[in-house]
Amino acid sequence: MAAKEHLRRKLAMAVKSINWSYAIFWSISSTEPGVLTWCDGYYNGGIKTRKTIQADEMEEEEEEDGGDDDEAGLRRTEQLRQLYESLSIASESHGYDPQPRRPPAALSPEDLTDAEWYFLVCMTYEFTNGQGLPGRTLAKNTVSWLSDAHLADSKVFSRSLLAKSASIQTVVCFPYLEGLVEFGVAEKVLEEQNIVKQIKDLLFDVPSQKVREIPLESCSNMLDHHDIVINNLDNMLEYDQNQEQSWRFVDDDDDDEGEISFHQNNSMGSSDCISQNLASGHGDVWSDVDDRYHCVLLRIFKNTPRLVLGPRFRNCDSKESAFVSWKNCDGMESNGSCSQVLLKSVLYKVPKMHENRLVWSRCEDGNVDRMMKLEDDEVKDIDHRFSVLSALVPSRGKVDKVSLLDDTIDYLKTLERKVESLQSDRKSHDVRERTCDNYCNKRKASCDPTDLQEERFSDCITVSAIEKDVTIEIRCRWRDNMIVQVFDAMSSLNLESHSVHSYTVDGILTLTIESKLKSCTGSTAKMIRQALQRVIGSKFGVD
Amino acid sequence: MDSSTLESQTRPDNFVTYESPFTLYSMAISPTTTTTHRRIAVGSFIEEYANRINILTFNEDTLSIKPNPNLSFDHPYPPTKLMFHPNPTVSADILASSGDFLRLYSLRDTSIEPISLLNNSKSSEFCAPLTSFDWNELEPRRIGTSSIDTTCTIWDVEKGVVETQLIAHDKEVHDIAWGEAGVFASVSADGSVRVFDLRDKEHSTIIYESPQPDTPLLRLAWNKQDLRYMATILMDSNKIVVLDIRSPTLPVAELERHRGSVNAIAWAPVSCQHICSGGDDSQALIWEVPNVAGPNGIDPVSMYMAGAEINQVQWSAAMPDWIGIAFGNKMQLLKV
Repeated sequence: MAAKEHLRRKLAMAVKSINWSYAIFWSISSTEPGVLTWCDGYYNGGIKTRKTIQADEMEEEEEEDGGDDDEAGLRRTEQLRQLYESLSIASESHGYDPQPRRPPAALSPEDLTDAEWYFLVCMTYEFTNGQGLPGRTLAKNTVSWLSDAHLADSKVFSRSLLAKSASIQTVVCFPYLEGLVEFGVAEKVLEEQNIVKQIKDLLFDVPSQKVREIPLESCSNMLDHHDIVINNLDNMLEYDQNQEQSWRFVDDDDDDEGEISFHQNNSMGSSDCISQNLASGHGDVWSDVDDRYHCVLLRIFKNTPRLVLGPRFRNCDSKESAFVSWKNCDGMESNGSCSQVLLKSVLYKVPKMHENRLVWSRCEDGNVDRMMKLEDDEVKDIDHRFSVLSALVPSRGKVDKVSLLDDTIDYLKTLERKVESLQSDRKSHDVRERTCDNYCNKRKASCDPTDLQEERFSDCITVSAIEKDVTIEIRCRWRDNMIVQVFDAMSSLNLESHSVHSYTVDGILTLTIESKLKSCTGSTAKMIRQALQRVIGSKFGVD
Repeated sequence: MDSSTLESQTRPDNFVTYESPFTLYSMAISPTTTTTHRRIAVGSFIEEYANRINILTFNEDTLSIKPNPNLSFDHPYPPTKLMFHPNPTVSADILASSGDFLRLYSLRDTSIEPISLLNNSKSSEFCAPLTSFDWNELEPRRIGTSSIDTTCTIWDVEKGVVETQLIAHDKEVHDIAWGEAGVFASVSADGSVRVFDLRDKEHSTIIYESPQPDTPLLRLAWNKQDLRYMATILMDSNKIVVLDIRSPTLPVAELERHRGSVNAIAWAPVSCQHICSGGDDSQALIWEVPNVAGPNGIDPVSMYMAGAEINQVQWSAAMPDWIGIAFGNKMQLLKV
């Protein structure tokens, strides 16, 4: 414990000398070679005013400040460590209690600043050789200086999200003892060898640091390295060189094992394995999580009852199951263009159905604000047509669709009326002309009545016959029974009518008859016309 | 339209088929049971206003499924999801549906009563259409709904009020799933899976993004037996992406043995490693998500061949021995 205490003091001294936020010592795990885990650290950043169990005591200490500053800082770090451990244990309990009783810890999560959360969550990380900033630093055995940690890609710095939430911007790592140290600060500091040298001096210049708590003696490489470190304390350069050799050796040796353990850790792993990690206080391979997300995870892992499916399930070949053992047999091949038809309809079409209905309901309300937001193609189409319509229809100034439709209805009605009046105008005009003719004729008639009749009715009856199809057009002054007489005359000529159009305007009858000759009686067009002339003419005379 | 439903065929031992007069999509299995009878709700998929929800009774002894003409009711447009109240102690079954609104119905023996129609828009009588919802098992007064307006709404259904509404994504939210009383995840057309904690509504964590940007994620299933894992499916993809929430970004497994796109996924209710999926290839596959993925990918444990594209898969804790699937106008219960 004394050794650990010593390490922490040393870290404290180093981080305070440059006034950065935290220092962490990542050590190579004694149980999993090649894996770096959180071993110790010192938190030197801001803290919140505390309101928990030890509040009074703490306040006193804070007031004292000065010489006891170190102690307060160390205490705070220790409390963070305890909090982490209590959270880890809490995450193990499988209760459904939303507020699990934590083992008494001086701090609760609510008391923590963002930077403290960052520091605490770092305790859950572990890195394999070459993984993450610590892993790579160790693998390359160099100093890593990252001055945009919060913006770094998560592959470069897996805690970048976390760093962002804690405003940590600059992170520096370099190998130290059986692991490496990491320093961080909430400012952007450009790489400066002086700072690195200053920390290194502080860390390495005191010989007693060789006493370490982490038992690595099992690994002879480590021991060798340890010796080298001790032997070269005075000469940094030489130390670095030797250490580099030594680490290279370690790296080579560890590579295979390291790979394996990495995979095992990263893959699904058994639930038990994960829980053990949490319980042992070293967390799991968490990357790219922020402190809040970490809380989420802790919360989730509180209750994960683990059951196993009964043996029946595994014997899927048993006759009881509808499922058979999987073999790579043919299913229906996918048809790219129409895959997930129903699912897509549910997600995309159905909402549009609702929206379309909504649009129309809104129209009725006269409230169409929302329509601008709709992206539906159909609605767009409709909108487009509405805009075309609005260009055609003189509007009364309002621009919504309801007004537009009203305008359109009014406009159509106006047009209809215009058409009607124009038509009737034209007809009466025609009639007037004809009447004019009549007057002329009449004037003539007064001189020669027979001529008049001839001229008038020959003009008004047209008969055209194509083989047996006979089309008759008659225009004459209307009177009762005339049509009946026309049909009588036609039937006497063996004509069978199959379509008749007639209308009367201002007493003038216009009659169009399409008919067929029933037999080859030899009725010619001329005969028919004459017969019809007689019908109309005789009566005309009477009139 | 009601009595629709008269056909239910019983076959020997290991599966039961119910044939509906219309295409089926949504489906839910009731957690409550009266002796050997169990209720199953199925929702029609008709591209018209008038749609239908039918309540069927499954008898495990006689292996028969019978419709309840009394318990059949209209739904405006197809329901996008159906779910029963997860807490079996409630006296009457409560069924929820999503569509234009979140609707709750109380199912009695011979009648159905609408309980509430939940609309999250304060300003109008309309709310943005809902793509899905999830009922919180640990906190059954909570329902989370996902909407095409990029938001998720958390309801207190007992009070009938909005607890909170979060802008969850950049695009339509397609599905939502609870992991814990106050933690949920959602998937979206923006291609991301996000995790939310109701204690801190300002933040969400993206734990997965589809490899091709903007490939929509369509459905999401959180493994209730082992909350580390959730699974999602992508548009036009035969993959089921399994995520470990502790190592975001990189999926722990991609299950890709379907020969067509995947339409539905459901985790096993009593095992922490099994998941069932249904796809356009008409297959229902059961997978065991392994501890370590082999180099050639993961093969399913077992399979079932249905008559058409499988659109729905339900695997309920109430009936862990049966998996419900829907294809075409049929609903089948398959013995596991």
